[in-house]
Amino acid sequence: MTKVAIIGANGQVGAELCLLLGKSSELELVAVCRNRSGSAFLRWQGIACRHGRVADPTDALRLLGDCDVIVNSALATGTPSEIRRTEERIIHNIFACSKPSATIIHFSTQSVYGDPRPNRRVRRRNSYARAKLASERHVRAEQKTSKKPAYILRLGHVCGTMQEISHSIRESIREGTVVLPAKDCSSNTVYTASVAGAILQIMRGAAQPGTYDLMNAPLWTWREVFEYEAHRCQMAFAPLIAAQAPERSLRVAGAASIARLGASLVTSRPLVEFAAKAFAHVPNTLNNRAVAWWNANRARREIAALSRRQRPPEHLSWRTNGSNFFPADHPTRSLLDMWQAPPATQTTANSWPEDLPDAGAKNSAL
Amino acid sequence: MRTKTSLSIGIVGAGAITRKSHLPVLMNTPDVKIAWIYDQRPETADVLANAYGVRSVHSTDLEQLPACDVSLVAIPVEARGEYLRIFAARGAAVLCEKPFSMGASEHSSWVAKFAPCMLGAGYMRRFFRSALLMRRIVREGMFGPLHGIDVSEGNRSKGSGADSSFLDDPVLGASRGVLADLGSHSIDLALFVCGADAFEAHSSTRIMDGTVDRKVTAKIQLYGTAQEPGRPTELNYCVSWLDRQDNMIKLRFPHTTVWSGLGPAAEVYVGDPEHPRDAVSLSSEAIGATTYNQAFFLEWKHFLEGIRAGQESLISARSALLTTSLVEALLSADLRPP
Repeated sequence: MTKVAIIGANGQVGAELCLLLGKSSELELVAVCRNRSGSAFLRWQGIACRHGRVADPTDALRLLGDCDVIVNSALATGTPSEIRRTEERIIHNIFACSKPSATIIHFSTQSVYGDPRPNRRVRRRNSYARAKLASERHVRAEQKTSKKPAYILRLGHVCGTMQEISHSIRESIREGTVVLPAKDCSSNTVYTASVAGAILQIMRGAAQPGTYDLMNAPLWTWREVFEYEAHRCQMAFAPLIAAQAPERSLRVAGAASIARLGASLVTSRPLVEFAAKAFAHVPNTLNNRAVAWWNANRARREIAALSRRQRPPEHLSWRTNGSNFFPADHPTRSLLDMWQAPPATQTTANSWPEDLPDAGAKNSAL
Repeated sequence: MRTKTSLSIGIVGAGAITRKSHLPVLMNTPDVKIAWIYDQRPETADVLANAYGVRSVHSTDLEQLPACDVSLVAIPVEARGEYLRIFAARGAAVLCEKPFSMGASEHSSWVAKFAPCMLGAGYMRRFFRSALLMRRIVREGMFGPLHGIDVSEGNRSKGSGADSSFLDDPVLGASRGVLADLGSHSIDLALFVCGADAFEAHSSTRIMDGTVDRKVTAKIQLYGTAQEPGRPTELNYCVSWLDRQDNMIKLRFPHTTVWSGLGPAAEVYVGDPEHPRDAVSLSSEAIGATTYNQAFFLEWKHFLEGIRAGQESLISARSALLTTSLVEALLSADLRPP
């Protein structure tokens, strides 16, 4: 049976994928987590795990050495330089420590397309997007060297039973506080069922290696997402539709653009981003100082703003992304009908299984 | 009583809570000087000290730690005893991260070694605006006597964001569990809001991962001044690292319910929690925190003002004794399931 490893199995997306794929009779799941406090939920749900650091080559071999498909859902944390180095090590070890015949699936993000806000002529990338883009380049470089088939999936906003986006959407429906923009934009969302479907499709060899945008098939608008979530939680859906902003004359729009450009220069955002980019290449000591400076400044701002209110999120008006969509063989709606992850609230008969045994030395690719 | 305006702070523990919360706030707190940072792992102390431009100290003999007016002790609970002994002997004040202690007798013995103003417990949620507002509602009896409290907190574990965490040591059991680590905050919040001075734990269920509790559910009766005579307040409590909870505190009064989320920016509502769109949002002019940095700032501000004035602060360790007692009771194995 095909052995599928999920790295970052206890993450927000990884955990729901484990619950979905764990029910499939086509594959044997290997959930990989760094530590036992992190894997508690999966083990409680009866998903046996392997524990260790894929960033460490010795660990990577025992974690991944016997797997046929490796899904990289890991999210490194730390300073920009730590994130960059850890992601590099993880990607290298995935290719170096997996079977020669292994297939690699790497999760990337829509953030690589840059600033999602509308009316931005230049879509600047933040440091997270640049780090993910750098990871994509590493995957392609490792693929060339190793000749292992690799799929880079740029995930949209991930929705699903256990995803924060879906939870907050349902909360807003329950509270009757949904406000949708007059223009119903494409949502750039992908349900976990579609992600699991793509993994199975790749496992069956039904897609060519490459870089894909993985979103719902066909694309869903935000209204469709809200309507689906309302239907799922059996709530009436009565959104308030915001008034459409009036069209601006070219002159006003031009002046606004110049003003915006001036403001952005004054607030030094490009400088901040440039510094973040540069810091990924300087010694960790300077990174730590920069993070300390940032933390102290944030604290100062927040202390000074003890009575200020938060601003509402703006993602409902973000622009549509994607050009090379993953060739899904099923529409998202039918996958959702087949693959709903149950809300995990009960102790199961299989709770707290023994850890999975390490990959045997005979499978070593080194 | 201390008359010094500027106080020097010595920090024991260079972990995440010091890096992300205490140091950034202390760097922005007036009349405070960070004297030194110490950690058992010298390189960790060096990295943090260097990042913030303060001094790190290395010593295998804890008695040799430099002098300071106040120490922040932000290390795992079972490792604090020696530091508390040394600082008590020196007459220095100590602010301990939560949980303050794993047992009431140990907690009491440390409280006895310090003046009330000189020992604090880091239950900074007491400074959330919502907590201060709900406490006032209960104390002033705005909606009548408090009949019950429902508190539920937690979500499924998503990892520590680190290769290893102090929570990963199963040998240490309960002090690594959800009740001591996360639950002590919401237990303290419930006791703080209702002003209870005694409790009776009726039932408790724990889901154990080996020796470590991952979910705890309990029913407790609280006694104190804000309740009707002869009628205790019923506390329904749940904390979990296994599944999503409401993450709310609900106060049940005879004719209405007052509730709030558990985050710093949470609003306080009055009405029926089942029909939130019909609820009334309460606001208060009372100063309180709406971010974590603000809560840590107010925690330090009150604690340091208490030291300067020789007066017990809102986060004195003495005021947190009931929290430790209740956590200890819920962790004891002889309670029946609810």
